[in-house]
Amino acid sequence: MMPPETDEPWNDIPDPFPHAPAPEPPPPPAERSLTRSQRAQRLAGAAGLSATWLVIFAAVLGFRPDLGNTPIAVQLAVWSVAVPLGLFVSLRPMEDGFPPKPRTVAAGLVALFAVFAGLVALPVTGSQAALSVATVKGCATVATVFALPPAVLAALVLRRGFVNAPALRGAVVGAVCGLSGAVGVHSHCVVVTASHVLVAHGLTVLAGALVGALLGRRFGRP
Amino acid sequence: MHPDEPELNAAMGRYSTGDDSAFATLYRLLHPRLRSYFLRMRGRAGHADDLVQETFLRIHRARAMFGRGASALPWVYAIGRNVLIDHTRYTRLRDARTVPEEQAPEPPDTGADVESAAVASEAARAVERALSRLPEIQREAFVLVRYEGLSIKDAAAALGTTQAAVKLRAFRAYEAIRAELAAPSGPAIEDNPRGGEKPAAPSAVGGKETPVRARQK
Repeated sequence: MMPPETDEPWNDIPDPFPHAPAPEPPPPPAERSLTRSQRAQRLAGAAGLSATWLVIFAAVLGFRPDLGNTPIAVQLAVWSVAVPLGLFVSLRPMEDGFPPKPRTVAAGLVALFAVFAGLVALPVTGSQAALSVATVKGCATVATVFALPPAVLAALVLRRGFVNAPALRGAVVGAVCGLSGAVGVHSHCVVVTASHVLVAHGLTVLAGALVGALLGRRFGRP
Repeated sequence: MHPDEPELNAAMGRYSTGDDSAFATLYRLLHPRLRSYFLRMRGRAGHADDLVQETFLRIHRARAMFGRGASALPWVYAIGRNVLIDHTRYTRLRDARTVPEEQAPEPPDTGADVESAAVASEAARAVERALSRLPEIQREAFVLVRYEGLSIKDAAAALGTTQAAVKLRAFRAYEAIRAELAAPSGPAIEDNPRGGEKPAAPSAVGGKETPVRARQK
């Protein structure tokens, strides 16, 4: 079954509401709104502030001593690259003026989770700790503190910013903010146990995606 | 492409860079389209003029997001669709909170004269009825493709779905409306506000070919 590409054969169905002439145009809304260049500046500013916050807070907490250990360095490097990449995938304007298609964004979201979980499985030698409520609570709190300012900035800058699929795009932005928190805490916490990293460090990725989806659905559409 | 689309795209491009003088052009080119779009989607009691004003306000707020060199129509209809979604949610919430006896009748649409002229024919009235009974997702696809002249690709972008889904929805809407128009008595379309991809009517009604069959020959 192939529906029509042109409207010619559809003309047997009359239009109940054909276009009427426009009335006299009113003046443009008095409300202040950003122009394209101003929005780009805000996005760049928010990204810069977020990155600065992550570096400063990580430096204040202190970097883990085994930062030069290859698996740890690989994890941090790849996750750090995934943060801007995730934003790029979900938000970059395409030729038609819309951001990437929902399927692409959904694939990007899955890829974010996969990259995080996949690299957790890298064999790393170092401090081991059993998964417990106390350790999860501690690291998840630190990761949340890392992620919160970028998330707030993203919410301010991207509010009403998703023309379509707002929940999905909000989920990617939330997951990216959560991943930045995971990068932050992972650059500080010396525990290398996979279950600990996955849960205690990665909880913000999942929570960020959920909160981002909710906020996106509620406040994302222009 | 419609003859006025280049002018519309250029005006939207200028507006997105802060040129407020482009608003008059946008209003002139978009107002008729948006008003007809909302009338087709919600009928005459659907506050079309309010929805048009809300859409222009949102276009103003979101103008920074309009991509350089992009096509304005699908972007504008995507925002119009968002306005419809929010309006539907608000209406449902309001209706749920309102005690039935306090409900006031819908105020008449101020532009009734124009619409009265537009729906003068019985066929147009029948189409209006048929449109109102279509599932939302089929109606929006049909309206954008058939009446607003968007390409399948642009309609898919505006609706945030795939081109195949738009084709399918528009085709089913077409068949359902054809069946409604051909039915001697009573509506052939079931009331199904939530929609779903339910098959509607037979593919050829009243001995007339559907666009699909005509095209496939």
